[in-house]
Amino acid sequence: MSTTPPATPLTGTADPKQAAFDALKGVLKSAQAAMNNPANTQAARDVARALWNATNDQLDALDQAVFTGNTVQLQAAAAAMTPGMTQLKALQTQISSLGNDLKEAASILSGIDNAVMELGVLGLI
Amino acid sequence: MIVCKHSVSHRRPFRTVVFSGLVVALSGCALSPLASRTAAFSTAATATITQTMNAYQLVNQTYSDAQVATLVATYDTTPFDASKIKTYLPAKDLAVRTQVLNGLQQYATLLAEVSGNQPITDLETQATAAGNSLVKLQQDDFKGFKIDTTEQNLAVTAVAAIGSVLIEHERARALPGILDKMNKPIQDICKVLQDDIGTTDTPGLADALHRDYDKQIQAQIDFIHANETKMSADEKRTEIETLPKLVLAQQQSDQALAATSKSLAALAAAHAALASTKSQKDSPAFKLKLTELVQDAQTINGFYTSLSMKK
Repeated sequence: MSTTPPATPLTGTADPKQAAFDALKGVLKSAQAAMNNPANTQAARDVARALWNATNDQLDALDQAVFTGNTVQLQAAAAAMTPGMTQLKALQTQISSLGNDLKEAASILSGIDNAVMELGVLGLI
Repeated sequence: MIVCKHSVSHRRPFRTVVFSGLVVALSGCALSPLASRTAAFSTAATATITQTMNAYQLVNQTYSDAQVATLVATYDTTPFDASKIKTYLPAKDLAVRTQVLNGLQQYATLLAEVSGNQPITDLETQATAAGNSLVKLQQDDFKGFKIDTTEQNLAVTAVAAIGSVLIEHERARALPGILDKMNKPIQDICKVLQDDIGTTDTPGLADALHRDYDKQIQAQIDFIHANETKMSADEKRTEIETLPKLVLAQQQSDQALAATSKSLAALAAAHAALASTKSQKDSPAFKLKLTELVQDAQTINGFYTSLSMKK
């Protein structure tokens, strides 16, 4: 009889984007501290500034990648709205047609009224 | 046409009773609880949709402000590179958000139109027009059709009440299914839009916005250091005073994006509550979600208004 080994809990399942983000934020923080530290030499501060700029660019790209990466999912979700929207528009048309039916009734009555008046003018009634 | 005066005099009280009975029987059917809830939902949703668009604009504007501030601070040491001047959010991706938010807006507007009082008001207007036409038919040979003002009012009210019931019937038949069908896409859209924003501690627009203020603050510090020997005391004070203003704007922007994200979550929750309580007469759960949504939307509105006034 074979026995199935118990499932091993997964480790290291953290979001890789989040891990990269956390690492970059750490670099950014230390670079900013170094470039604004008056005790550092100008050369050291320049190096820290270059690192700060480069890290900011990488974080910009990472943040932007979340935005652009979501676009496809958003398009799919928006497409899924179509059947419901079609039904809702049909309902709106149905409801407004009830008012239009009454409008038609009103115009028929007005037409009868006008006809009666004209017949009255002609002395036919 | 020969109309017996006797029969006319008996027909009038009969009509009055019939119309009155119809009005009494049908009154109170004007707007169902579900219809009032969908109308309230769409009003609150509109505010969230508007503020989400404002969030994207804020992110792009602040990125542009950071570019300008950095350019000013580094102009003497770094050559100006026109190719580096660009908007942060790619136009094609932003266009998709605009399209999706317009779709949500259209859904909210249609829900409001279908669920609100307007169809019934329109119906009453049409019924009144029909009633006026009836009153015009007062020629002697049409005495059979002649009605007085009381009868006219009752007839109009009865017709409007019948129409209201028909409208309500159509709503009750179709709306629950539509709400069910729309719920998953709405949940998905709100989730993705929330993910776009993220927080200041996760990748996304909230972090980008926060760092754009950091860049502006750093550029302002650099500008002061590079030029302080050439500034008068007043000029230096003015430049230094800009720093806390930028920090405050950063805090407010962080809050605005956090509130936008929260509002999107509230919008999804309110729609889920709306869909799940579609057959209930009263829904405290929906009212609670709606209250949260309205509060969030009002909070964000305050943030964006104050930020746009400072620009």
